[in-house]
Amino acid sequence: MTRDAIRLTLDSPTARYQAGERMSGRYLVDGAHGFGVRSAEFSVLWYTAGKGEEDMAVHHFERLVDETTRPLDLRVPRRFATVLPASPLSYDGHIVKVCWCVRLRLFLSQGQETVTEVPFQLDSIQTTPRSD
Amino acid sequence: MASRWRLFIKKRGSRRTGARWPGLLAEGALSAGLLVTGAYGLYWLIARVLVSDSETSAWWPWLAIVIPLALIGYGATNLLLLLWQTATSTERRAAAVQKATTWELPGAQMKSTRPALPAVPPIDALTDSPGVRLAYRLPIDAASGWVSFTMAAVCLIWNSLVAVFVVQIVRQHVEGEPNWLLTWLMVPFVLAGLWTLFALGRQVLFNLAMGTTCVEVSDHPLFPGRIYRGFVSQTGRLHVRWFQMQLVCEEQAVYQQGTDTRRDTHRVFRTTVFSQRKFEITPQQAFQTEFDFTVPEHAMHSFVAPHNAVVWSLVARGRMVTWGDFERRFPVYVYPSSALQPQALPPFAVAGSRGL
Repeated sequence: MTRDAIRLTLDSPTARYQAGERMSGRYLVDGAHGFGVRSAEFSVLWYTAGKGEEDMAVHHFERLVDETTRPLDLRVPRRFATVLPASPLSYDGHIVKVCWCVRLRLFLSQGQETVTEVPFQLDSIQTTPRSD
Repeated sequence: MASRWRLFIKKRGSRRTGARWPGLLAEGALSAGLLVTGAYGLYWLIARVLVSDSETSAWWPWLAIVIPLALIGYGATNLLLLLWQTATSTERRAAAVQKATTWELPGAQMKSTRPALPAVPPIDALTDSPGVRLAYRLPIDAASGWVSFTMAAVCLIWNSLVAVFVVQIVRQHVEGEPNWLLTWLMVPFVLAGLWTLFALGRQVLFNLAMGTTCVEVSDHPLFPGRIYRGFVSQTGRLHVRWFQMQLVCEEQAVYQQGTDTRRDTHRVFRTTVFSQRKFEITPQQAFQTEFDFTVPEHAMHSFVAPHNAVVWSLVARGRMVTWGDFERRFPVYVYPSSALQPQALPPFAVAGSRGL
């Protein structure tokens, strides 16, 4: 399966969200590929990039498993939604970067796995500056 | 271009020059080897020594049982971790760690009433010390105390070792059998020891002369775009050329270079919020002043993760006539503006731990 067969999209066209905002979207696998998936893991997470070792934490995680009673058919679009946390906000620094993304990892029947991710921005709620 | 064998190069971070599976296989084989060795050692100790030699009732086999048990524990733990890391994805492991942090252990301290912010340091440790002039007194960065401690430790260890050799050499000279080669070889070591004594003495005198620096702020945590009041007090006996208070933001990154762990720091923001030139500080009259400072509106909040951090500090720095430059740091926490509207946020768990 190629990555092109996986469609992971956010509802927001700008892919910019504010802390505490509800983020939603959908994912599906095109054509015949959608039926050969052993399990799928969908996650909303942040990770660090830059000079240091990578840190990461998962905010939202879903695992779907192909079972005989409930076959996993990813040709049918699946919606996801989560309320984003207050931190850490997206940050593009010099040696430290904080990146948010939604990630879909598919475990295929042949033992292979494929990953697709869509980055998005998590910004702070804008407040009016005032002095104490 | 074909890749060359690079045996003596230090790799950055978790990058690999080869395939993943040979490393996993080697790690698994090592762990299994330790486990098997430990199990055989335990069997040998019990069957051949403890059981057969029971009449002599020696105590040492019971103590030696720790060795195979440690091998078994280390090997089994490593094997389980390796299996868990191989069988599950990074995200699944991170989610498991995240879930574990939400467990409430019996007898554990209740959670703070403040809103929990993932990857932002909790403020409670910094707000338990009220100030005299303003609301909160800031603790000094522990790193400055470590300089004196490290210098004292190095001085003590170095000079103790050198003293042992010097006593031997002096004894040889007194007995009329001098070893001149050893005597001359010891000269640079003695000079280095004297230098550590001089540096330590200077550091002690510096600390005594500099006195204490006390910094207080009107509110804590800080929020982007807001103006705060600060207070600084400096004691000692000093002729000050210049003295400044600065608000500083630094990025910190920890990474592996081969087997070394290295730390890099990059200053991304610095503004001088108070500055004064040429004045005296006496033991009777400490220097005290108040100042205002603003956290930039689009500033990144304080961020802390196992290998990366964004750190904000108020820095007291200056140049003294006798003692030269000095710098003391007082960490402050900047929270995201979203923490001002806790009702708009979901009830999330504290995150930031690495799930790898």
